[in-house]
Amino acid sequence: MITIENLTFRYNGSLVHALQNVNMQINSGEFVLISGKSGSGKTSLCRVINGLIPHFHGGMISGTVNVDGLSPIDTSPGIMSTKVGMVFQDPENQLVTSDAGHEICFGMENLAFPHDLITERLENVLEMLDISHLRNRPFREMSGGEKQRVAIASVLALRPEVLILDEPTSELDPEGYNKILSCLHFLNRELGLTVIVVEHRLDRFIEYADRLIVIEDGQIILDCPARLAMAEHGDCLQSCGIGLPPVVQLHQKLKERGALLASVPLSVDEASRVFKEVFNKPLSIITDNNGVTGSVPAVEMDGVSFYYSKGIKAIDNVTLRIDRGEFVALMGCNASGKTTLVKLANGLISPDTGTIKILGQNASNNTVAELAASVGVVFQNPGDHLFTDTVEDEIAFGLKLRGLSAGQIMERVNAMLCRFNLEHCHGRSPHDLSMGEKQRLALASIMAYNPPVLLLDEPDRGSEERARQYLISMLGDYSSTGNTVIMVTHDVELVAGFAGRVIMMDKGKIIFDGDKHEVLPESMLYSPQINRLVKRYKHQGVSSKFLTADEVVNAIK
Amino acid sequence: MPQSINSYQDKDTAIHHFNPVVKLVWAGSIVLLAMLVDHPVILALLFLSTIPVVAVGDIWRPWAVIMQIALWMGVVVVIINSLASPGGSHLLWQSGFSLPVIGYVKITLEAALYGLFMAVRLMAIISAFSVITLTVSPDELLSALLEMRLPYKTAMMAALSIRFVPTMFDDAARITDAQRSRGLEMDKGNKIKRLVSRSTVLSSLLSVSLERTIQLAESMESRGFGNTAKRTHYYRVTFNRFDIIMLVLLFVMLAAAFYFLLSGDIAFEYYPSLNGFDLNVSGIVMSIVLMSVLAGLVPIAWLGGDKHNDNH
Repeated sequence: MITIENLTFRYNGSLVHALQNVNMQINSGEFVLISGKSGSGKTSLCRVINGLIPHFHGGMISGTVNVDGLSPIDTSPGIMSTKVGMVFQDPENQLVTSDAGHEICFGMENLAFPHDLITERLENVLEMLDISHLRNRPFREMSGGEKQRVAIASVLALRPEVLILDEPTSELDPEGYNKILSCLHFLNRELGLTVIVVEHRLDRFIEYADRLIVIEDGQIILDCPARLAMAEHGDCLQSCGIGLPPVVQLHQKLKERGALLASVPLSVDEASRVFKEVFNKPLSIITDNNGVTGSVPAVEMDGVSFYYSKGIKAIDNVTLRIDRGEFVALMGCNASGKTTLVKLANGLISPDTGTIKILGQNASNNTVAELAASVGVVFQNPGDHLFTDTVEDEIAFGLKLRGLSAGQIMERVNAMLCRFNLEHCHGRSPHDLSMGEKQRLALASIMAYNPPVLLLDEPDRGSEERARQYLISMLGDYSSTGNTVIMVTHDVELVAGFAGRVIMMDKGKIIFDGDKHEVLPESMLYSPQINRLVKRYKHQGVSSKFLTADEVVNAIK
Repeated sequence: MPQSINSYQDKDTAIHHFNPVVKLVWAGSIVLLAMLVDHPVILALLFLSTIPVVAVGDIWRPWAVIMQIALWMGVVVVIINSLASPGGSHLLWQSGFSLPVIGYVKITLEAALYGLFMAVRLMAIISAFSVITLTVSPDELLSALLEMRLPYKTAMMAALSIRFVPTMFDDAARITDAQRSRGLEMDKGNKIKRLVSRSTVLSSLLSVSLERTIQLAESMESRGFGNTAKRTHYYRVTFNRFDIIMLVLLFVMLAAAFYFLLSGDIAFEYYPSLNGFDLNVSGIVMSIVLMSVLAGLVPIAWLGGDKHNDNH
C-alpha cells in the first residue's frame, strides 16, 4: 500500500533534516502506530504520505514514495485525498464549516462529486461513525470527541485507502478517546482500512496495533510487530522517552525477578490471563503512609457556587480545603468545572455564593494581579501566557513585579533557564519556540517567583513520557518545600504514579475527594490499567487498591 | 462554556430562517441607499427600518453592543466634522484665537448637523451589517454568496472569517485570563491605562491565530481545497414564493430610489444654509416605499417561514 525508499527531507529555512534516509513499507489493512518524542519527525512522515510535503510545506526532498500507485511528491494533496485521509490533533483547528453535514461535504464538493454521490456518501459515513444525531448540531455545542469523529468522517467520505491520525486523542478526555479508539478499531478490523496513528502514548493504542514504528531524529530506529516491540525492545523505547504501558511494565518487572510468565500482554484483558498465577493468592497493598499533610490551609472554599448566564451552574456548592504542602490532582471529564474552579481560586471570576480564602485571606478583597503573588496559574495553552520579547524577559517579568534587584533577577532567571533546560534559547522570542519549550517556559515564568499555591491546567498535554515524569518530579519537589500544587489532568497513569490526593469533579460538583488509592478505584473512566487488572482478582483476595506496577511488585516481595 | 455574544447564534426565529440571499440583498440595499441619499429624514428611516428586523430576530443584546461602538464612532464623526468644515451660515461658536494653518476655529449649525447625519448614515450601515452577521450562519453565507455568483475562494474567505470570529473572541478571553493571572494589572487605573495594559493580549492573539490558520490551511489542503476549478455545491439556497416577492419588492424600491435620486427630487443641501427638513411629495412617496419594503422583511419572513438552505 505504502512504500517509502531512501526518503530524506529538509524544511525550507531549516538546517537539519526532518527525515533522513527513511525506508518503510505499510501493507493494506495494517494498523500501524508511529511513535517518537516531539520534534522527532513523526508528523513530517505523515505529511509526506499525503503530499502536504512538499506541496504545502516546501523543502528539499529526495527518495521515492509510492501510495497505492501514486507518488505524493508529484501529485497534489487534493488528488491524494482520495488515497490518504489525514486527521489532525486539534479538532477545533481542522473544521472549516460550522456543522457536521457541511463539514463532511466539504472535501467531496472540492473534488466536484455529483450531488447524488455526495448524498449517498454523506448518509453512509454518518451511519458508519454513528454520528447521524450530530448532523445539524453546530460544532460549538459538541464535545472534543464528537468533533474529532466528525473530522474523521469528513476525510472518510472521500473513501481513502489509508487513514492517518496525528495525535488524535491528545485533546480529549477519557470518554472522548475511548469513542475514538473503538471507532478506529472498527474501521480497521471490520472495514479493512489501513490505519496509521501517530502517538507518543502507547498504552491507549498498542493493543490494536499490528506494528510499531519508532522515529528518532528523523530516522526509523525501530520497526517491528507491536508485541515483539513490547517484549524485546522496551529499553530502546524508554531511551527515546516513550513510556511502556503499565501492564507491560509489570510483565517486565516480574520477569526480572524470575517469574515464569507467558508472552507480554498488550491489554488488560490479555494481562488478566498472563498474570493469573501471580494473582492467585491474597495480596494487600503496602502504602508508605507518608501523606502527612500540613495543617495550614492554603485554599479554602466554603459553599461556593458559580453560574454562567442563563442560570447554568458551572460550580455547584463546592466546599473544600487544600493544605500547604499538598500535591492534588483535579480530575473529571471536560466541562465538569475543573477550569472554572481554577479561575475561582485565582480570582479571575468571583463566586456567586460562598467564600474563597487563599492563605487565610478572603480572595474577593484582591485583584487578580494582587492574588498572582500567592497563586500562580499555568493554563493549557502555553502560547496564551507569553507576551514579552525574549525568553529571559518572560521569566523576569514576575520577579520585576515583586521588586527584586537586577542582580537577584539575573541570578534567578539563569537558575530557571538551567532548571527548565531552556539555556539554548534564552535570547529568542517566546513565540518561536517549540511546543515543549513553550510549555516549560510558561511554567518557568510562574515558578520563578515561588508562588505558595501553584495551579496547573493540563500542563502535560501532548508531551512525551519522559517530559511528563520530569515535570511531576519537579512539582513533587516544589510541594515538599511547603508549597501547594494543584494539577488538572486527564492522565490517569500519571496521577497513579505520584503520591497525593485526588479530587474528582462531575457537573460542577466534587464527587470524590481523598487519597488516590481510595478515589481512582472508584471511578470507571479514571481507573489506571493496573487497577483494572487487579479488580479482576478481587475474589482471590487481591486488594483492589493497586494503581501502579511498582506497587504490585513491592507487595509480591 | 461562555459564548461570545457578538457572533452568529442558532436561533429559531423567522429572520434566522429567512433566505440568506434575500437578507443579503436587503442589507445591501440599505448600505447602498445610505451611501447615496443625503436627505436626513430618509437616512433616519433607513436606520429605523432595521429595528423591527432586530426585534423579531431576537438579537437585541449583541446588536446593542455593536451599536454602542457605532454610536461612539458617530460622536467622533460629529466632532471632527463640526471642527473641520468651515462652511455654513449659522455660526454657533468661534474661537477667540487663531491657530497656525487652520486660522480661527468655527463651528456652524450646518457642519454640526451634517456630521450628525453622517453618523446616522453610519449607524444605518452598521445596523444592517450586524443583522447579517447575527442571523446568517457562516455556512449559509457561503451558499448565499455562491448563489450570487461570487468566486468560490472569495466566498470561502468571507465565510471563514465569520466562522472564526467567535473562536477569536474565545482566544482573546483565554489569553486575557492567562496574562492577568501572571500579575499583569488590568483592573486598576483609568480606561486608557487599562487599554494599554491589554495590548500584550493582541500580540499573543496574533501568534495563536497564525498557528490556527496554518493548521486550518493544512486541513483544507488535505481535503482537496482548490483542487478543481469546477467545484460542486451540495447545499444550495432554495427560493420560495415569498423570497421571490421580497426580492422583486427590493429591486422595485431600488429602481424608484434611483429614479428620485437622478431626478434630484430628494436632493438635500446642508450648505451654505439649512432650511428645515421638509420633504416634498417625491420625498414622502420615497419614504413610504422605503419603510414598507425594508420593514416588510418581517411579515414576509413570517409568511415564508420555513427552513431554507436545505436541499431536502
